[in-house]
Amino acid sequence: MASNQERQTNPMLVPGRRLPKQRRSKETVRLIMEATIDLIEVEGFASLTMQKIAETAGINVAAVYSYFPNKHQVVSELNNRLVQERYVIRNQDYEGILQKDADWADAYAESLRGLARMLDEQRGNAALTRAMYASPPLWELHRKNHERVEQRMMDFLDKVDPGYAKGNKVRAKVLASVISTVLELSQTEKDVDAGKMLDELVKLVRNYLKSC
Amino acid sequence: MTGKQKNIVDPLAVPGRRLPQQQRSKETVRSILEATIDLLEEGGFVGLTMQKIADKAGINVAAAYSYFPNKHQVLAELYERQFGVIYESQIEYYQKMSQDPRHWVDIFVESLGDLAKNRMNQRGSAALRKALHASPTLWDLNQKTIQAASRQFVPILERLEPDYKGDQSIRGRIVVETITTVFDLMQTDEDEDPEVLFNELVKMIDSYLKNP
Repeated sequence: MASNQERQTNPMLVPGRRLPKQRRSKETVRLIMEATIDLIEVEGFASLTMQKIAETAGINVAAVYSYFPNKHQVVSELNNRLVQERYVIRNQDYEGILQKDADWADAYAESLRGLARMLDEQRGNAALTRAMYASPPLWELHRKNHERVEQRMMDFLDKVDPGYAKGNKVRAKVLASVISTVLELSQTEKDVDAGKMLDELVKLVRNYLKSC
Repeated sequence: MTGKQKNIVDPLAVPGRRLPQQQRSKETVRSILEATIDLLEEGGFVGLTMQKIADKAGINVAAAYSYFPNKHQVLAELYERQFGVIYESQIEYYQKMSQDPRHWVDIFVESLGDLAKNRMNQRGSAALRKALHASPTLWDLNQKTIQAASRQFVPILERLEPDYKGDQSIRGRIVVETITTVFDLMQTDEDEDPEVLFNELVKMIDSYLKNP
């Protein structure tokens, strides 16, 4: 009974998902992801239902439930896919900066332009960010993503700036938080000029790194 | 029934709140707000109900409803009182910035120390900031507060640096967002010393504003 209660309060803990291995199953999950993006872009997360996902994907609702026990976990899977895609590309960015002779602070700050472009181009990203703001279990997920970003930035700073060993963690935390606040803002708020905002963010990050 | 529906759509739009003029009513509102802070600190936003607030405040739930139609509006009132105000001291700093022989950025950065102290000493501010992500309506309120603070800061930037090449409104917004983000980090990060985080904020704002 107690665990049932916990299941009710935290939809992320509901078991029952199986990951598809076969090509046809993968295709079904892909359809579910695409339908979910379409729906949250138009209506947001609050009015999303498993039934609507099934209808938009053109499949039976039982098929949706066979992969995901609830809409939170559908959105969680969508998040994991987008995060993983960014993870791979950001790792390449970091490697590139480490190998270049140019000033790393300049190179890092400029690399944020690529990150902003990627966030912009990933379909469903802005709607997903908004959904995460609105649901405590999804916000938890968002925080976990963020911790991973912090950790990676810390590792990068350690390699690129070995002289600054002490306090590196703090620097990475402050940087990661400010960067994600500003980039999310450009994504979610329509009356903000995203290009100009990015210019100012690059300036902020570059000057800060050089003052450390 | 339609009224109930509306509740779900935008709890802040539900009418029915009246602001108390009399001493005794003010005292009741104060006890409601204090009880809400206690409950937020104990269990967060999710389990909060008007009944629990009334019980904690030692008043009848009908009395609580006579001031606030729902818990969102209790939080909105708390939020307004804590983050919707501009401090006298901040206005004094703003005046000082155009008169003092020191660089205006040094004075602005000095003002952040007072702002941080106010925020950290405000009872319930950390719990209230955490609740932002549990309620989309509060999140909107937060965005509006940040916009208002930016709007206040922008004319000051324009007066102090009329020749600035970039967009001052975006510059102001970046500054306010950065301060808000690091203050939140200071209140929520359990591993880092708030003072150390604050020093990074100072470095960030100082290097950004001094190198346009």
